[in-house]
Amino acid sequence: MESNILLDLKNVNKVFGNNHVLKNINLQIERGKFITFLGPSGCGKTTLLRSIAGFYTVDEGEVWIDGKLVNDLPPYKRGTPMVFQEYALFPHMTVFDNIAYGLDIKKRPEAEVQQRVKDVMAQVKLTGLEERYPHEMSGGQQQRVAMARALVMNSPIILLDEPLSNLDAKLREEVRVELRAIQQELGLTVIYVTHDQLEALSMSDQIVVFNKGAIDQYGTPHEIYYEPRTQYVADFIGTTNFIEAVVMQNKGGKAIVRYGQAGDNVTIATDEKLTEGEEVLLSVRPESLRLNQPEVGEFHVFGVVKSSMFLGEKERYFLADQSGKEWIVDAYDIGQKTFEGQVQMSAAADKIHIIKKNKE
Amino acid sequence: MKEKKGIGESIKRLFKDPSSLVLVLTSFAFLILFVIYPLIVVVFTSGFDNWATFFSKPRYARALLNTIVSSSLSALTATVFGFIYAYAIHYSNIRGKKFFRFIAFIPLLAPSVMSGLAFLLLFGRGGMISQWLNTNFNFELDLYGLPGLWIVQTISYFPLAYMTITGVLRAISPNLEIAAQNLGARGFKLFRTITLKLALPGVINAFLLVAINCFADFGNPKLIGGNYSLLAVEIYGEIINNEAGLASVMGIILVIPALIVFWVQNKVLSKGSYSTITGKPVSGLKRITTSKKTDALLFTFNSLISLFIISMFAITILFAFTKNFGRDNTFTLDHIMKVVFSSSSPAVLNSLVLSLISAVLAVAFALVLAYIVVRKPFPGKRILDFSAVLPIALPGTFVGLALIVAFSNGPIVLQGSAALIVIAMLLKQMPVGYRGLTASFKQVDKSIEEAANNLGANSRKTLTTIVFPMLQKTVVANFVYAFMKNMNTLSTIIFLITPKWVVAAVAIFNYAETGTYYWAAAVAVGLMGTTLATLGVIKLIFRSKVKIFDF
Repeated sequence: MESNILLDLKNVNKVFGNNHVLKNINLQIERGKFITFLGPSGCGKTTLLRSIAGFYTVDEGEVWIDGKLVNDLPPYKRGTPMVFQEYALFPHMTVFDNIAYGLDIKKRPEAEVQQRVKDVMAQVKLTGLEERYPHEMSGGQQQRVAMARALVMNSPIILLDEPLSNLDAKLREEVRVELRAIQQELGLTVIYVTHDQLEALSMSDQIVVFNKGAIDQYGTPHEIYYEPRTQYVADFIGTTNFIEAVVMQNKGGKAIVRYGQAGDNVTIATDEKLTEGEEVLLSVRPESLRLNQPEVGEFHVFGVVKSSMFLGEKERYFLADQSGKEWIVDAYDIGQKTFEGQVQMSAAADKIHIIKKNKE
Repeated sequence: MKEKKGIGESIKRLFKDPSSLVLVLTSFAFLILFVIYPLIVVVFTSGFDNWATFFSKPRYARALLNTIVSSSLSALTATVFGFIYAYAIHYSNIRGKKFFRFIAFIPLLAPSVMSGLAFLLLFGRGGMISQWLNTNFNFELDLYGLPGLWIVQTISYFPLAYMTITGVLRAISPNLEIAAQNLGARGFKLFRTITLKLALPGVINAFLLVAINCFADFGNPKLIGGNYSLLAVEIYGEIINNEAGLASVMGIILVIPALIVFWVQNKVLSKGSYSTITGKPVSGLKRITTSKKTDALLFTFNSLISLFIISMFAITILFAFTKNFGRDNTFTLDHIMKVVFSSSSPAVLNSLVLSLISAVLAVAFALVLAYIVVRKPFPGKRILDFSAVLPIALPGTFVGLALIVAFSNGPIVLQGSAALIVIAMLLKQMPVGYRGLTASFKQVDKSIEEAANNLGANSRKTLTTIVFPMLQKTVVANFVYAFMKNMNTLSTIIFLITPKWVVAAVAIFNYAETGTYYWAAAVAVGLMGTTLATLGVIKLIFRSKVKIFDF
């Protein structure tokens, strides 16, 4: 029986000069999943992708693809078609020849090449543009050619290196939906590199958050968003408020923590191992806080509205609490009503997440 | 943890890739054998005694002084003429710009010694104009020596200066002059403060380029110099006298200024150039930099230059197709048949064959070198790069001298073989192609090669299906350039030819020196015709993909 794990990275390390770019990466990726490598530039996500494709050889560790150790395989023997950030289309070939290139190299029969290129062009909506040259196409079309060139290989895995970063915002959203649809239709395993958290949240089955060459968290978009394991993850994905707190008690997956100048207590569910007296951070999202609605939950902080910004579907408030710390609160669907002066911020305990401090 | 790198690691990686290993080793072997080894031999051959002889005899001192004086003068006038000519084409509103461009291009089709020949036909003893002056005004025109040489070298190297300066003027954004006009500058003040200032590094570069070319040129000084002897001519004499040591001394003296200029170009001028800062021209705005009066002057100047160039070609053609022009003006094909199409005079055919072979090899070698230097890691890359570019800085006369000194005796003897001629031409042209192709390689985004690799193509397949097709334009352009230069070179191969392997440029020179002008002219016409026909064929093969007649 074939294993459900398509890609297995074991203790992968990569060094450039004195720069340790990948630090002990351990990662297992299941078949048919859409996986996103997320992180700011220089965090190692592209390096890892290129190490999977074989453009870099890892300095330590093992890369397994489909049950085969590929550390010593050159890129052209790995079967990991990739969509490049700048597309890297062959400028001297037509769209058809670009897409057929990989099949021609494999010496597939002419009829098969014709059929497969035709099918994949229909899939990415390029039918009719076979004889165009890359420079005669728009950025969006070029991006589709790059996609088609990888898809036509019928490989179980496809690598995408920030493929949408050169498209405008509207087109990006469109392609995102299509890409996800194709992936699900074909049951492909996709590894998608991006620095755009919205892209990651909206498309992925699983997100791998990179921080300075190491994996900070590997989980579903919901886990990443609502239960960030480190301050870095919480900060990088979306906007959040951090509050200093001290653990009073931790029993049976529930911790009582004390926060704020008044020393209020709140009980929060957590699976972190916490000891009594430990200093921790509480993370609460701006949309989880309500203004002057203490009935929503058990967590309360008083603040003064400093400024606000109307963003259409919501009003974003910037407040300061008694210690002077800045808070951000998003108020939805409040009509013409606005808040001013002293207000009370409240949240339900289950919307608050405990992050251990000693992790970076 | 540490990255695996260093010499050991790159050697190890090279051995994993045997085809690259072969390319790297072959390249090193070739350049060491034909660039480094001859240089060392020349230095050792020169020897202390010969240096002493050189500095003790006033004849050599005079030759050195003559060389410096004549090449400085010629370079100065050629640069000034080239600048005015280019300025008229790019900045004025004169008519016939396309024609003037074409005129400046045609001398490239002929060897520079043809200018010397045409000069003799017009102004030499018994030349058309000299005779006319003599019969009508009883005036004895004698331009042999410095005056004639100065005129001929000015005209010979004017196209080089013009082309270099054209490149510079083209790079100046009109926006800058429009901006200066907007701030109130106009006329000569605008020219002096903006245009000339911006072009100056390029103009100095053109001057240096022409100067070192004149410095080592052999053909025209020998034809027209008369008693006014130059270093390159002295070297020729010493080689004939079997004085390789003295020839080496003078060869080294020829190389020194060339190396200095090479260094200056690389270090100083490339940094001090402003012309790279440009912008898009503002559409609808036209710079008006010349007055009507200036236009008239510029037009007259360009017309005079063109007239001179045309009459040089015209007189050559007239001599080639008449029995004995001036005395017997009957049309004949005898000369052409005798020296171009007869099997007893294979000079033109030799030129064609050797030039084609050498140009193909030069471009192929340049391609291999550029590929391994840009894309492959291996130890000693800087040394390889240096020795590949070095011949660009060496005057042709010196390259020929070094090869004949190194390979006429010793462990490897190649003297008298066609191979040595092909290698000499290759050494002169390969660096140009190498530089161009290196630049092109760097422009090919690495990710395009990675994409091919990623889709299953190994390095060889990537090269043949992706890289080479993408570089086709540069390859063909470099091939055409190398071919034209090979057809017309004289200095580089003058020491290497043998009776069996005489080439056209040498034949022109020999016939001109012995006074059989109609044969010299016929060879020149045959050579130009062959060059044009070959370029035509190349143009047919590659159609619109290459611009050959880009003037």
